Amino acid sequence: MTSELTSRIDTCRPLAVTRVCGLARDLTAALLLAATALTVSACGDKTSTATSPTSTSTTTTTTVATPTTTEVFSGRVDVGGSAFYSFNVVENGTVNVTLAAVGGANVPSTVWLGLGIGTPTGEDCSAATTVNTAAGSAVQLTGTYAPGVYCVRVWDIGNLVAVAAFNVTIAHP
Amino acid sequence: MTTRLPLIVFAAALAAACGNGSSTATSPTTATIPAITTVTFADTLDVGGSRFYSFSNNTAGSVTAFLASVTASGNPLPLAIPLELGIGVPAGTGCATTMTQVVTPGLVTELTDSLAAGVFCLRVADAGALKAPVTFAVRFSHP
Amino acid sequence: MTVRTPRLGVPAAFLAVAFALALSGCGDSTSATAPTTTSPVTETFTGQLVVGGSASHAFTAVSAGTVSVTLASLGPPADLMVGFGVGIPQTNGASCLLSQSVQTGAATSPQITVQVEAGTYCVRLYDLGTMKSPAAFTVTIVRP
Repeated sequence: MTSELTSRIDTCRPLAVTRVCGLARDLTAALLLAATALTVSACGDKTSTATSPTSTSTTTTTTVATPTTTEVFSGRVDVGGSAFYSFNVVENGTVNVTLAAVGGANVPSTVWLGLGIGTPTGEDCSAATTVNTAAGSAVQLTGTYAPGVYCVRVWDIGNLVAVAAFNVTIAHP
Repeated sequence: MTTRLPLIVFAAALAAACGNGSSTATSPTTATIPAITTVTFADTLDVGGSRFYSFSNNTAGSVTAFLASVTASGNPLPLAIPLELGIGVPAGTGCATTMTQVVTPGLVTELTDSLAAGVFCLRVADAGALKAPVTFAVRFSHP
Repeated sequence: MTVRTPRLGVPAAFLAVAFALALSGCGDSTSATAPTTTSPVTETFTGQLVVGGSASHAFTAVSAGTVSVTLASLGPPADLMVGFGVGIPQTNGASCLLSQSVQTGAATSPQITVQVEAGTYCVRLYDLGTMKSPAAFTVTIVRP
């Protein structure tokens, strides 16, 4: 095909038609180059215009809400046993837990029990934050918690000789 | 020679435009399938009683469950006693269910729910048919 | 004076062919893959059942499907009957919690056929209280 094209253009050599053939040749070249440009753009999702990355720094402030809900967990702990109570924190904020009272037959009100905050897991509460404490009016456990479901666990740390009744208050957002 | 030049340029441009397409091919994307955890929850159930098992969904997804076995305590003989299965959220001293189904023992899915990421619970309760304590086994899967 | 206008037919044809080649070269190709199917697997569980005892064997169904279990041989005596069932293993593997069971002697066809999800299951034999001496057994399990 190329040699045939060449011979056809060569027939334009006579002087009388030189200007017309030269124009045709230039036009052909221009069309081909234009087609090249179009073809490159059609396949052109490989080309991209790089933009310089922009960086902006933002400061995020997490609000720590104060407790707005108070729940009372009343229950019983057997000798060597435990009990837990689940609650829902609706916004990031402070949770305060107080072992308010302990009692029962053969159970002194000053007996120390285990107290913890954690996540309900299996048939129990997996307490990540714990303390051994007697009952009182001051908060024994506190922390900041993201929205989610948590639990308070109370357990015999080895001091009970009979089943103990208790009250725990849980204040949370 | 000069008359061939535009054609040569054109052919070269074509080769450059499409010739390295394979080197910039993008890898096919694959959907991420969340890991599934399968749990066997077995315990005793008193007449009129209930038990629940709390679990955490790492991602949103389907929770499926079936009541695999009900037997009299200490007796391997399986019983065709219906129990109530439920899915919900731990609340207070129990599991606040949002979906329940009374089912009989089997080995295929009997309860399915689509849940978000977070903490949930599966509850087994006497549906009213118990005359004595039983041992139950539930198998469930969650993301 | 003769004026000849060179034809542009050949370059145009070349252009058209080149365009077609270029656009085809920019395409992706996909190929479909045929789905794979797996055949049922047969397992054999053999052992000895002691007086007042039980024996269990765990197996895994790799996909949902049908499980058939056959107490293929049992004895002596040849007419011995035992409890025979299918269920799921306890988490600690200590026992097989039965979903369904029958009282049966040895047979050539499955005593239990059950639909299952993919997962781990178990078969269990147990003395009904009638055994006088240990008995050898063979159980065949066909599972996905």
